[in-house]
Amino acid sequence: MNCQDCMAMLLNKDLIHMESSIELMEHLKSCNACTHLQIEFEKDMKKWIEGPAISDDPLYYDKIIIASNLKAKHVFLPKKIAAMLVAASLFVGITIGTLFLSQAASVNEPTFLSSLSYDYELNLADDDVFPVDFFFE
Amino acid sequence: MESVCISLSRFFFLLKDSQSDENMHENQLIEAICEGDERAFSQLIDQYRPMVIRITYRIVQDMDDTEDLVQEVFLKIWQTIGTFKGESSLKTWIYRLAVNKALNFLKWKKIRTFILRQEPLNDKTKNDKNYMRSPEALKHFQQKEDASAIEKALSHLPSNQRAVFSLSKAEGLSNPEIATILNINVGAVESLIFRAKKSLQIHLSTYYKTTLS
Ligand SMILES: [Zn+2]
Repeated sequence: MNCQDCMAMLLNKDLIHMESSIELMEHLKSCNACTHLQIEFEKDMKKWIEGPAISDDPLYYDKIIIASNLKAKHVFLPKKIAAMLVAASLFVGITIGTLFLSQAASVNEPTFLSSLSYDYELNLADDDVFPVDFFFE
Repeated sequence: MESVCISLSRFFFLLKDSQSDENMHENQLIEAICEGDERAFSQLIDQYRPMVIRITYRIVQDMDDTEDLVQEVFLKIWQTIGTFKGESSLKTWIYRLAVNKALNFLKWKKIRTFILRQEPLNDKTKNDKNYMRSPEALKHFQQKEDASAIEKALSHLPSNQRAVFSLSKAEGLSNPEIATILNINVGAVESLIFRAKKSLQIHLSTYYKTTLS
């Protein structure tokens, strides 16, 4: 077994079969570079599995409830007013957007685009099946 | 001596009993939240917040974005738990909300980047929220020294592969569970894991070859 095959197996354990595992063990015994790689890889894997440090936040629950109450106010706006607001924000969004795109001015882009997406109701609901492949492949 | 043993076992029995009182069972918890019990919701947050943070962070790979998204996930849970039918476990349902939120967020980020890629970036300060969401910042983040090699290699993968690989390898979920979360079939999960491993192998071998030699 050469180092390249050994490395491939260490990084993708699916490649290891009964026969190749003996060869792999023998290669590891005689090759410092691959042993070192194995140690580093396992160390990185462990670090990644442990994930980010998560701090306790005793006020976290209150923040969610406050945010929820703020959002609820939006949800229960009378339909007529909501429709007027959507129309107004659409107008403002498109005006600012046109200005922004033509002049590359320093308009706050995420706000503009996210408002545009909300206005056109382009954003998928969280429960929707997402066409991920289209965007990420 | 015997009486001591009996009283000890009685103590542990009572302790166990009081713990199960404190931590409501899943069905009770859902019912209580549906009725607007904020204490029950607080318990759900305590129980699931680390899990939601972990999976969101692994997909979006930015702590600021993760914090925003996690808050949105719990808001969504609070508002829609009444629609939870119990066909899957609560945990699977929460994973599904979190993964969908993260993937949808990245999809929009990608569209934004595509539309605005002409925009020159000025004042690339760390406090600038716009900069923090830019590809440049992502690159900067990926170069962070404390990021593991796996994390760096994962950043090269399409986010659906990253999600599947994280759910499988870090969260330890089975392929059928992942299929339920992503609303795809088990075959598609296997294929995504296979492709993720192949790409990771290529990126990692390059990484280790250059750093270990
Ligand atoms: Zn070797």
